[in-house]
Amino acid sequence: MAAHSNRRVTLLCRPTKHLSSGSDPKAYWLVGSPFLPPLTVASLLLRLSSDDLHKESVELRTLIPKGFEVIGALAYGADADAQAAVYAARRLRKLLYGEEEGDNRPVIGAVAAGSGELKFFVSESGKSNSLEEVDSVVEEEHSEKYVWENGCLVRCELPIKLPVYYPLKNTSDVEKAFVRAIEAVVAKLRDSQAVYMLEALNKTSMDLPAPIVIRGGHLDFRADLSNIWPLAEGGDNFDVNSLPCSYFSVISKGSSGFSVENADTIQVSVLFNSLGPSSASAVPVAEYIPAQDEARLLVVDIKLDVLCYASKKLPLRHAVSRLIIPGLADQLNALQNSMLPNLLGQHPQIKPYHFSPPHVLHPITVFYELSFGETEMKQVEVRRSLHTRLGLPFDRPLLRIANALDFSKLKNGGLGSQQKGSTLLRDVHIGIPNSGVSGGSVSLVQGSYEYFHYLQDGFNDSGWGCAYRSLQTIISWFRLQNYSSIEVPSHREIQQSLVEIGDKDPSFVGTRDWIGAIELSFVLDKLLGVTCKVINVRSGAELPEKCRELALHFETQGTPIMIGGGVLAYTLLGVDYNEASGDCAFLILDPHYTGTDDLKKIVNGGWCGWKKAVDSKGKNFFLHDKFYNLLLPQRPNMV
Amino acid sequence: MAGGGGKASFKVTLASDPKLPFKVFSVPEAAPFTAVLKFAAEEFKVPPQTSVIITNDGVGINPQQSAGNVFLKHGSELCLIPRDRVGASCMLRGVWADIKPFYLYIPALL
Repeated sequence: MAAHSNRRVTLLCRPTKHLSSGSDPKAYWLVGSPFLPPLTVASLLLRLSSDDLHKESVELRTLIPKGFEVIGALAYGADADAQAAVYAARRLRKLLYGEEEGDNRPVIGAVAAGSGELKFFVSESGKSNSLEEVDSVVEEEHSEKYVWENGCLVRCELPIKLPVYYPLKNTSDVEKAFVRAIEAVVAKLRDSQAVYMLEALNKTSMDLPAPIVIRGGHLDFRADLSNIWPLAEGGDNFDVNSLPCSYFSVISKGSSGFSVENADTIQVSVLFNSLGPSSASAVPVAEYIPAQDEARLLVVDIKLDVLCYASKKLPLRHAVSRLIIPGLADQLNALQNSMLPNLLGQHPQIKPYHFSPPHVLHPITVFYELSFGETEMKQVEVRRSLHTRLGLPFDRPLLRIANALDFSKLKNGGLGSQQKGSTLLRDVHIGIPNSGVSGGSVSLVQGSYEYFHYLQDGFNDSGWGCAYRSLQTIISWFRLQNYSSIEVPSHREIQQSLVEIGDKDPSFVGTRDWIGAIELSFVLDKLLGVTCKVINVRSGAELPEKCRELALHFETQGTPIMIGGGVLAYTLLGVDYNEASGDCAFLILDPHYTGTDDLKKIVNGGWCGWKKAVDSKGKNFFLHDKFYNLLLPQRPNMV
Repeated sequence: MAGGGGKASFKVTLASDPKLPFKVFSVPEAAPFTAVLKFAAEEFKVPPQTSVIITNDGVGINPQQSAGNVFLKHGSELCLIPRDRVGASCMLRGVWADIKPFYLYIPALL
């Protein structure tokens, strides 16, 4: 039996969520950080290649941001073996970080038998084979605060136009020349003449600390990241080389909360000092290297973009030497490998993107090849494989370019739309008063939508356009969640669609005719490929009975619902339902509003608000003598 | 409920009647599904223009497909429901109907 360790494992993620019962044996990599206490598990990544560790290391090298690292492995299944997991983790660490197998970093081996019960073992040193079982396992409640309270992001964008000279006679030499050119760039990054300028990312319009310049000569490429000694405070001389990352921290945090998007970001620019310190004045000189034979120039366009995680206490120069420069070197090598096969032909258009997917504590970096667009089959496969590795659902786009972290825009906390020229209000239900249902559980629409109502765009649809407006709100939801990029259709375009599928005569276009839930389902199917479910109730009195089904819809699909009946159309954004007492309320977004897009007016006037089936005056919100059709759009299964 | 010999059979339930009566229809596979909608509406004595057929799970069916297609995609257990048509208050419709074309008010010119 394994000896018992005094150490403690801290779980920032919930591994049991990833483990599904009764499936094939799986292996996961455990990710932690040298800036967090040892044996702190920040995330779980599925091992995709069960035999090719080298392939795993290539994919993980640029996926996991520097500042996070693989600290162990988890084996799931009937034959799960902690020793094998530790061995695999140590071999992966060697491939990724060049550590020797006899290294003294503690590595976690975790096993989950079929029952889902997790056991953690730690191997203190690669030299011995002994494992110790860890009894103390702590599940941290506020994981995001844990990671981002004392952490920040460091980013470096470096576009390079790399000139490669190769002899015409021997075109296969171009590959060697390219590899040499890349090596030269990596060497130049470590050169003492390299200069790194660090500044804070302008997220608010507050005054920012002055930029800092660090010279290559002062960089220490062997500093140990997990041993950061707090630097001596104060002192009269402003020593650039001892400034910590917290120098760039924005002082007031407010209530924005801890997350990747709100983290302090330090932007690094790479510069090169071509003029060394020289006391002698000299005549300008041009250097040339004669080519043996006729040679050709090939320019390779490279875009590098690294994002790293650092502790706020980390000295800035260590952030550059141990995070940014290795990150840039890794990206250069990854790009080299993808460009090599096609150097003389069409270069693939590869660009790195950073993402912060939901329920993953750290950002990830992915290289996308965009020559053929995002919906190209190979790109869909790449995204599906990433979704599998990260444990993300397969029914929603989360790793599209539109989902990528955008470091350019200023932080905007308002509800206004961030599209240029759009004045539509978004997510008007946020912050409205409570529903009045006590002890109920609230299920809401997931994601963003825009509020469409009567008289917008100067279009007079008052009295007939409410179902059209509800449809526009639903289509805006699919746009904002990146399922589709089509423009939200006008009333005329909606009518045209119905004529084109044969549901209406051509004379329908341009009229003020009413439509209902069924027409909406036809248009959603035609314009967006979205299928819908329809719930039909014979009387408005039956709607409260459907609350459980509606709550389940918001939990699983999370799309806005259109309610049509008794001559009125509504958009349903959520339900508040108390299972025990049966008390319920409906979060209604009313498309019949004819006023201006003023959030206060809309909320105070009840145009977006919780409606109970029977209000305090005894009046029924839904008519009991009319039937109702509810339209429930389903998320298309696409990434 | 099989589709043999080039025919597709469907069991359609009338959702608006609490007794949930149903009828079975058989149509050629190549026939447009609108034919099933028409027969069902006639049998249940509801107007076909204001009715629509959905599956028992509530998935909407575009009637502009062949009956064979619908059978393959959705099976044969179907529901007939009334279509809602929503706009706003009925009053507004009444107002438009009352306004006659302006030229009728112009007295005839000599």
